[in-house]
Amino acid sequence: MTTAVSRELPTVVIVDDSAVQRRFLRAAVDSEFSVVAEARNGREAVALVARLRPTVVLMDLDLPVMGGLEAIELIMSTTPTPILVYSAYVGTAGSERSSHALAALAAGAVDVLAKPAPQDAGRLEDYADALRRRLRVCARVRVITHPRGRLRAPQVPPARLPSASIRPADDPRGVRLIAIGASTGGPHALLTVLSSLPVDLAPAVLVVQHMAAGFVPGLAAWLDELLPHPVVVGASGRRLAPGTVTIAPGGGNLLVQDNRLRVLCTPPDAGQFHVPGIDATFVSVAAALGPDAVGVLLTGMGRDGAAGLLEMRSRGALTLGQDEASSTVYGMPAAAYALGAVERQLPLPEIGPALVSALRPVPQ
Amino acid sequence: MTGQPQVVESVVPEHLRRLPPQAREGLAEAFRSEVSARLPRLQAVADGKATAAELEQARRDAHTLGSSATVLGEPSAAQCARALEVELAGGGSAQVAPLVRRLHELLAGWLS
Repeated sequence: MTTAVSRELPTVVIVDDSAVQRRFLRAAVDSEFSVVAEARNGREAVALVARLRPTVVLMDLDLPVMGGLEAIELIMSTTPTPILVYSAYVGTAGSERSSHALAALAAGAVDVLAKPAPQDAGRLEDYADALRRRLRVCARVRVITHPRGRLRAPQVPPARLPSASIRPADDPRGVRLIAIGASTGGPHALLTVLSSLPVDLAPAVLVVQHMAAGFVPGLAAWLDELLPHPVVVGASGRRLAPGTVTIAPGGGNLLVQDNRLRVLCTPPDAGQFHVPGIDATFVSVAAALGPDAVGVLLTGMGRDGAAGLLEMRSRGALTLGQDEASSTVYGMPAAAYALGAVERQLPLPEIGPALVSALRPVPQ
Repeated sequence: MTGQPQVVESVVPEHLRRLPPQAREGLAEAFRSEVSARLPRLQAVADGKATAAELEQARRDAHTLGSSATVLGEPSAAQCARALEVELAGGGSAQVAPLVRRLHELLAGWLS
């Protein structure tokens, strides 16, 4: 179904097999967007996007005929368009369908929004506001072509990468922690960076990804499936494990307490917009580890992480930032670069190898 | 509930009340159509003789009804549908039949 275009408004194609959802979404967004078409399945979506070239696509994942994931792959490989996925599958770790949302991000979708749960029935106006806000952001994102089938981690034979090790405790210059912050476009960027790290990685890795709390276990499960390193969700009071990727849980900030890599979950600061906060984590890493850490700030909107990365750099840590050309949104890394927080600004594919170079080789 | 419910103002979620009347009626009509199409398929599966494909369709039906019921301000039906979806995703269980019965009770008034 196609409709006349209002030239003043950005255009959107809505994809959902439910007529109720399509009507609701149209009503929720049509004050700011011109809904140019509605698709009932992935195949219709691919055809409509190719023909109408909308500003943005709003897509459910659970679709008949052709699923949302396959449709996203096709769209991003042929007519790349910003896609906001909304999904009811915000499950616990190991839930296959919750990992589909992360796979959608890796396939090139810009963002994922959870569908309202039954207990949210009285707050749907808030949901509509959040939907419009996220759609506005997505509509401004510059997307690039994603080759089909690039869901798997690149297969890098371990023999090609140098082994790395934590330096002896009496030598404080060894890298003990890699701290990575990311937002919009983050999951795909994280997979690219982390899959470049050696299998026998010695430092701990701490990831802060802006994400609704319910999606974090799915992110961890999805990365754990694709990476050779174990991936877990952080827990207060635990120590970050060497060679393990720890994802900051949602709902608050994850702080490194001391140079034994013990972490603490704290409530977000009053007025904190992004949760979990990257600045909070980076500042704690700077205080706890100084030069024994590496900070990495990847794609994302806003400024979170810029000040924290500067703090890390001022304490002697190596700091890396993703460059504009490879960022889904060049916001956070741009802010960090402007502050002088970034020692090396790199395209996404070069960040992993740069981290490997920063790790001390094992003495023979 | 008996008969086809109007979209009663007192139970319409706030966000829907702000929609033009024709948009509200359109939502209600769409939900009636969805319930009428999907509930009978769930009833068939509850009898316990479904193929894998029928189970998957039933799972999708439960999923859709759950999401739509949330929009239409039917949280009990939405929760019931979500629980049913979980059971069907797991291949079906003894819980399917009572959940389908309960869902039918909660949505009977929306059947065309």
